[in-house]
Amino acid sequence: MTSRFATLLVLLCQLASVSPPAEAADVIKIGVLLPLSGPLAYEGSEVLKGFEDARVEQNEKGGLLGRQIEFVKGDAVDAKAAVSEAERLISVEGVKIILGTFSSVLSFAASTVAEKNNVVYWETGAVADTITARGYQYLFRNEPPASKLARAAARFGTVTAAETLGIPIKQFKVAVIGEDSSYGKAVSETVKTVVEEVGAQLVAYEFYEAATKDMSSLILRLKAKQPDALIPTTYVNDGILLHRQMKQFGLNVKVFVGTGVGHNTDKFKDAVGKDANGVIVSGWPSPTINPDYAKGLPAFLALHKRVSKEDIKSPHPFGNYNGAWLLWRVIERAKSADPAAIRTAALAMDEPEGFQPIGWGVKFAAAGAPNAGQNTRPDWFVEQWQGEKLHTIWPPKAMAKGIKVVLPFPQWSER
Amino acid sequence: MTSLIVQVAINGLLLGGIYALVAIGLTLIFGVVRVVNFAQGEFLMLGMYLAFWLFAFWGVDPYLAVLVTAPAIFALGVLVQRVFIRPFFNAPSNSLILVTFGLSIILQNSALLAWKSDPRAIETSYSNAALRLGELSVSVPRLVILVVTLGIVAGLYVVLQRTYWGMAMSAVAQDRKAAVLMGVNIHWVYMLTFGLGVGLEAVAGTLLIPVYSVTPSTGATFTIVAFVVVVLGGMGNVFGAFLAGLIIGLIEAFSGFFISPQLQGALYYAMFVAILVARPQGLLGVVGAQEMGFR
Amino acid sequence: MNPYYAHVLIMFCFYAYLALAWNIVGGYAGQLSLGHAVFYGLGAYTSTLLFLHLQLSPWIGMLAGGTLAAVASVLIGYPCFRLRGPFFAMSTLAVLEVFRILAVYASDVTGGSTGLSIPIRFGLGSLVFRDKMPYLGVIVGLLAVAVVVSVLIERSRFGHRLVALRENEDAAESCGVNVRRVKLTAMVLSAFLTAIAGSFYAQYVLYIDPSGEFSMDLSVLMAMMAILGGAGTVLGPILGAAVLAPLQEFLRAWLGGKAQGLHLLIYGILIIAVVKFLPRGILAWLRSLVPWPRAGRSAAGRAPTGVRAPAAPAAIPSVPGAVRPDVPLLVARGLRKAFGGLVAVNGVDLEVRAGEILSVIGPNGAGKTTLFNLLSGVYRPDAGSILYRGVDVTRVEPHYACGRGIARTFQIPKPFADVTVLENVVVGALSRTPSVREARAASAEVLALVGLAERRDTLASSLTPGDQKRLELARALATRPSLLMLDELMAGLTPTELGAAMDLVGRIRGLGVTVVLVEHVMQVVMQISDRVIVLHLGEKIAEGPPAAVAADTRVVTAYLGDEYAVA
Repeated sequence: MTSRFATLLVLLCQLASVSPPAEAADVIKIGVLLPLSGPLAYEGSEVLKGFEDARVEQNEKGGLLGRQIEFVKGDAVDAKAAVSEAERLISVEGVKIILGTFSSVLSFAASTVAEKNNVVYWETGAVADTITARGYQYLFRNEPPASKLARAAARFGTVTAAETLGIPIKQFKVAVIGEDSSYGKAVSETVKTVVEEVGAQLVAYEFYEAATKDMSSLILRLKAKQPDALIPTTYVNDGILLHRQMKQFGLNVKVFVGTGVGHNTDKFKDAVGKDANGVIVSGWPSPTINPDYAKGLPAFLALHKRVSKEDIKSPHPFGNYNGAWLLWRVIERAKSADPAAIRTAALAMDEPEGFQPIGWGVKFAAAGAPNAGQNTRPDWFVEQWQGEKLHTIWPPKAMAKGIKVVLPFPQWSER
Repeated sequence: MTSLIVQVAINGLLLGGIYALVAIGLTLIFGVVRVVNFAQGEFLMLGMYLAFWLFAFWGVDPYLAVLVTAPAIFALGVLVQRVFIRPFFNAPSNSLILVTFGLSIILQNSALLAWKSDPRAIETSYSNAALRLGELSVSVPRLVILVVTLGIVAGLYVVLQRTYWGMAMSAVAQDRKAAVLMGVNIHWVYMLTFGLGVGLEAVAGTLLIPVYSVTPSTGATFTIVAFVVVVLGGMGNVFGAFLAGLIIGLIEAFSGFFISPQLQGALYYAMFVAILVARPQGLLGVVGAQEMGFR
Repeated sequence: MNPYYAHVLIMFCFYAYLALAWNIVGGYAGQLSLGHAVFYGLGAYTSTLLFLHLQLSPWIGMLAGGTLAAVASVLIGYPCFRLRGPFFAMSTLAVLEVFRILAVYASDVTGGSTGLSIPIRFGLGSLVFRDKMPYLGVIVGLLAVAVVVSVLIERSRFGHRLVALRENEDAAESCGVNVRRVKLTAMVLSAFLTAIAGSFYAQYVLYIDPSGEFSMDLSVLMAMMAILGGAGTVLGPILGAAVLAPLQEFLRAWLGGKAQGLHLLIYGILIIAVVKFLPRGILAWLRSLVPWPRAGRSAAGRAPTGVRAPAAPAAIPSVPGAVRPDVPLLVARGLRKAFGGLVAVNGVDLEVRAGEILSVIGPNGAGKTTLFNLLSGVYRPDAGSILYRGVDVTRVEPHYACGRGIARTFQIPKPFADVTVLENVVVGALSRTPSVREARAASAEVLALVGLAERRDTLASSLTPGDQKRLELARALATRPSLLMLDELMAGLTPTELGAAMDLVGRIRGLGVTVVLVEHVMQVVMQISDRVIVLHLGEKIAEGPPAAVAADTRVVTAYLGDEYAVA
């Protein structure tokens, strides 16, 4: 009993003083921090697929700086876990670069740990604007923030729609709703701002809990306001519920613009079928995007099929593959995996539209700028469901041939 | 405007029917086995998954699948009670809270391991069906739930009052020691009740899958509402759970319509605390029930 | 030290601190709060908002947060403490949800779901450090404070009262414990400490959001750590944290990325396994392995035991202001109590004279125990008045009645089961003195008087029924009553025990305590009573010396039998 205790004690002491292992010369370890368990596990695993595609592709080309890329994964179930996992990746696994994180809450928490340790935090999916408003030196985000997601949607939902339908903007009634987590709130706030900027009428600004079982009260409230446009920010389940109940209660709008996650996955289409047609959504692009714009898309589709052995089910893999791909390019330019070098190379990068597989350019906001670390060139895409498939309708260059915007949103009774 | 209010009321009642159905199993278990079953929602989730697979693989309509899912989850419940709950028969009451909590973690994550976390949903011919009464719209699948719940309440009444096992359950609920002295096999009663209680969750889940999607964490979103309903209705009182479910549904619908959808939850939680304080035995509970705690 | 392990150590201290804070309410007081993160969140938001808007140092912000949480805990505890068991637990969960939803809703103030970020500005004053060691220093310091607070509680009158109310609230009330106030005090202490943890973690991670702060998972975790380690002790919660915190970390690190949810699955299985195999917590299991003297309980003040027949005990002085035997001690007029349609006590007048032994008898259902409950404050009469030594005590709470000098035992003994015999009596003695040491000494004397001195270190739950009754008596006596009400003390005693009991009652009266008995054992009633009152269907039907009452035809008719002839 005593001797066993002693062994355990010694072991613990050893553990406590272990320093991170020196990196093997032939691999480059990149930390990956994602929600792999818990309520966001689905989205987390989709993002991971994108990262994996990028890793395999690069390794097949000889890796980075002559070394094969190896992922070290951390499971960020919630914010506290994100912090702990970040600590572990950095201090035990010795990673100097972390890829992540899908959820803004997780990103906030983990990126602080990275910043304190001068570790590069490469964000590829979380959208809250304030993530890059903290003046962090080692935090970089490729995708545009929520405000741009909101603007893209709001533009379509107000100005574009009003023009197409021939309604004066001052008489154009817009309803903005969102689920009440950071995602829905952040996006909806900006949508509201845009609506007010363009001079349209904001007739409703409501939030609800994503896990709600019934949106009928909300829908009836909206129905009373007779909006021309509805701009909802939802996740998958509530998006489906919204659609079904809108149909049941006959809430008809002339334009329906979703933002991101809730309306641009196959889950949505599988659940509502033909009723998806006409829904406009801003966010990641679908595979039908014009390959002249997103030049990397066809290759990616083939790659994904090969690596993940499945077709694309959601837009996350492509978008996050893209973020990882950009990181590889930055590392190549830095000619080093050292955070300071990566930082310099990233800040120095200046590439026009079309550079990234997805079609985006690169220009990170400089240190000292209010949104330091944010890639300022990209804008979100806007898609529309037509014939039960998503088609890109913005930017115009990204529209596939023969695709046009379809307005108004068909009435429920006409479907 | 009146028709709008009536519509809101209808929606509230339909939602309440769902809450009632989810809560009935819980109140039974509460009342008889005296267990705060944190894992109650997980059985609902399992029922939903089971119904989903039956539909996805063999095209079995959920309304038929109930005949399979309910007994299956009943059997699981009996097993769970025997393996996880019964060993703690004489343990301090806090132990059982921890056990059912651990159970809920186990069930949720087993589901996650097995089926990943993609939301699973089905679409049946009646998923979006709605009855039209003038300007009013009544969702058919939800109406079915309400009707079934009513039927279950009536059925339980008969079972609890007229059958031996039902009366045994009531006896155990009222006084465990006396029931044992009267020859009731208490362990059988516990297994039966637990099985029945979670089997009802499977019924709820099966009836819900045409309307909602399921992920491993779907059950948890129902558990806390179920608790609110059970306490509001009176611990162990089936009809109380039914009434309370309807009331909560109505509160949610009306507060969502008149105040804000965002505060719906806060409102009925606050009401829950207020009622617990003003009338702890709930609507139909026995005075002093709240004092009894566990044993 | 490797920063990750420093982090795990910090998290261990953090969780141990939280578990100890929870333990005050959940362990010592036995109130299973599952919504404790309410206070955690209040602390985090208060200190963060004060820092962001007023640049107030988090050191001060912490205290502000703690104070706010303490105030909130009174507002929350006051209604919720009316509930017991799982209902209390449920209500705390509901309160937590309300706060979380409000924190999301009030986004102008709280930043809503997006949360609030604290800028990285290193410095002692701003409680932000690059290195882990300063954080470790702070949390170890906090943990030490929690340990000291817990130890002080355990040794204090307050702590004994907490344990008493955990074991049996009614009995505690009758021993002079103002249960509601004690529970609230525990809640306030616990809330204050919990809130500080919220501020600490906010400064550690530099980000807060409603779901993370008002988190049900955290609330349950706090409770679980304390319970798994051993609730109601100092080491228990620390042990629980020592096991669970690193376990969570390592399980997630080892398995998290590999199979989704596997580490949580194992965690769930472990919880059940520990509850099954270590039901009273890890500490109790460890103690059972290694013989461990119960710290502090039976140490100082050990009186010589083994003397069977009690020596002449130190006099139990009556409450100052000794009264004359011909002056009524307690006067009750027109007492009435109904429960729904059943009138249990119907217009009863009662006088108890100082120094007498008065018996109240009557067939079952006559209202005797209800009468007792009215006199000791457990029930409020619907009508009537009760004057005790000239003071109106008609509508007082039981602990107040105890303070005035009215003590009672319960028909079915309500010992503080999980505590020693001596500790049981100490609770009673603490109603007369704030010093635990004095209470111990006085309790030892009382135990000697009732003949339980040998059993002083036995757990009350392992006593025989007869000894449990002695314990009830001892506990009541320790409150130094001037009026002692005994509810069916003699029931179920063997003939030998009866003799000893009657003897004891006589000696108690000899010490200046007036005794009122509710009894069925006629032999006793006839032998030791000065006067007898007979109740029947809630009304007084006879009153007088025993022999006269026994011969009264109304009494005989009520009992339907005269088998119990005067012995």
